[in-house]
Amino acid sequence: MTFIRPGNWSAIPWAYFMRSPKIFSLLLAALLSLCYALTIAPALSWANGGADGGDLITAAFTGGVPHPTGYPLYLLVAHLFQDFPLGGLAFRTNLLSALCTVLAALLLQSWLIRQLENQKFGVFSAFIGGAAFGLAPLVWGQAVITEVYGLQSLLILAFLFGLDWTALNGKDWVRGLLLGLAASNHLTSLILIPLLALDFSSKALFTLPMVFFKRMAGVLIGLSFYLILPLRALTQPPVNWGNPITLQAFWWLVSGRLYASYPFGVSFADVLLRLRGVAGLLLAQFALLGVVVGIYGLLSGLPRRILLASLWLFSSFCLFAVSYASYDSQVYLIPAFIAFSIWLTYGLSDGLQALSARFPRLAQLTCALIILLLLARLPGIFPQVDASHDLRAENFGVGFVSNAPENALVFAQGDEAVFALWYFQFSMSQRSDIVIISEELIQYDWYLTNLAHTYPQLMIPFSRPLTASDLLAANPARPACFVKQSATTFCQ
Amino acid sequence: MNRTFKFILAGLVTICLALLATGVWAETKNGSLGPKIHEVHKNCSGNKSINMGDATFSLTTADTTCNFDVVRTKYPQSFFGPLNNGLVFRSDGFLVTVTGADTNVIVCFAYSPIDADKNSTIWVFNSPNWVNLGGVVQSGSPKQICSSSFLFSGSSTGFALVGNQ
Repeated sequence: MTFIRPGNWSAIPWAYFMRSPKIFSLLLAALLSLCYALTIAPALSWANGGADGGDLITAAFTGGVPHPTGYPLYLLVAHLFQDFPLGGLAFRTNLLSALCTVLAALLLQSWLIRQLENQKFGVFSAFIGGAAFGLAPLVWGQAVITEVYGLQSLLILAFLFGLDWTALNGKDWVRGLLLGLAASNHLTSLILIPLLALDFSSKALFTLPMVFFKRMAGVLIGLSFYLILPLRALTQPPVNWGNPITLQAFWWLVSGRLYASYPFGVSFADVLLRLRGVAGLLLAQFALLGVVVGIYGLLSGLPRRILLASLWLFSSFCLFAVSYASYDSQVYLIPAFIAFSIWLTYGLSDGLQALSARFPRLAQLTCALIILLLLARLPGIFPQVDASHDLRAENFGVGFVSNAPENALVFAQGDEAVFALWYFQFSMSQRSDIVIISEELIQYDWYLTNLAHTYPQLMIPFSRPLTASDLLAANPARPACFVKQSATTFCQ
Repeated sequence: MNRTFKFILAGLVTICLALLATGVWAETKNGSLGPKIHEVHKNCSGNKSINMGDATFSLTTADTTCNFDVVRTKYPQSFFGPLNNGLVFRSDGFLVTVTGADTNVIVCFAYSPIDADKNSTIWVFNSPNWVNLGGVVQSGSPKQICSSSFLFSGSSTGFALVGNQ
């Protein structure tokens, strides 16, 4: 116990403050909540690559099935938030992303505190690790729009936490269940299956095969959420990707068959460019000093299991992100940044420990400086992620529903246009007279079945593959509008 | 490794990353709505037209025994060859192959107002160069630009919409 004496009156608050997980948890929650509250999108938003928002919100609201691979757990959680009486429908799912990301950062901090409980600067370093993750522009950008990555981060961290949590010793199926839940939100979480082989509870590095199989059984239980998708499809909702009421259609949806050409679909030159892009993004997320500390942390002797787990998390998601041929694949780096935040935390703790051994006051000063540097970054990150003034999607939708001719056939191209129009027609119940047709999807029979059910008055000819011209010819009384992405709209 | 050495090594790696880093993420056009039709194979016994979504290819031959393939490439520049300076591809490239008959093929591309602004026309790859086929903008909607070219049986030919930068 430290007694207050002249000269050391500052010791008690400092020691208590630096080693209090509760204070740092409150600080982290307050910091991230404030940052997200100031930048959260007020409505449907295209900011930060948020084109999928309209599809996800509409599928969650109408009991539908969104684009592959279906995101069943996200649909259930999002629907709960949509019942929350605060703001508009889209705002509530934006709020879900923000809450999940705050909880993810808190869980990361908590897990790191447990790992570093014997380190003098463990709590402080874990706070910085959690804050670095939560304030990383890519993470922050996804936290303020409707997307699945906030929940994905939370569930991946819950899985990592569970691997190490002694309360789950003897309940290995729960460890697998956590991974299964993560995969029921975003299927790429299955990349982490090899981590089920790690043993955090004994001296052995790897578990026994029987334990691994028990964990895999838990994964399968977690994946059972995918079974809600056929049940939703049976109600014939307006958004019903793949119409997964048969085994073949179900597999088409959950296996992501639509995107079969995306993995490793990038040219070698673009892969090399993306690898350089990963370096650029790493520096953008953590700044030069953060990257130095993170790499130092990787070299500073992490416990073997954490080293293996974090290396796998980093490298597997980096490989996926650089080789996956979608326009927004950099968001798949978010789990890799969880790993880097872990390295950063270890590096910081080790560095401060070494500094404190020789220059205790300098170590304290360095902690204060680090917090100042963290806060000093905020004004620079703010404009990159701020979605609070982004009304493009709302203005697009409102403008369209106000001006589209009556009974128009609306041929829409691009995620932004199609999903925003679905949101306004099916979630906001506006302009039920117009027929929204995705030009990319009319090549699929399941979509034509869905169109026929959603718009019974629409005449759909038998020719295959169907074209816009065929539909126009079959519905001559209807005026036509053509919408390409969010830009060009012309009606006849 | 002692701490100082590790810190110096971390610093060196960071400098290397900073030198290699770029703010560009090589994007593709692929979104959640999925890719466009990649490949279609047909025989000539029925409708001699292949619709790739943003381009259609129709044979004029009366032969009913020939075969007809269209394959899309997202990288026409590397698949076929580069364009002249100042010109860019405004569509994917399409490799068209007919076997069993020599025939004309009518090629049509979707033609947006932006394509018109960029003076886009249809080009054919006559190795080693791209050659301008021109094209006539069709009336009606949605707008298309069409041209025709001759294909020898067994040969594969590349087509694309090309315009100004």
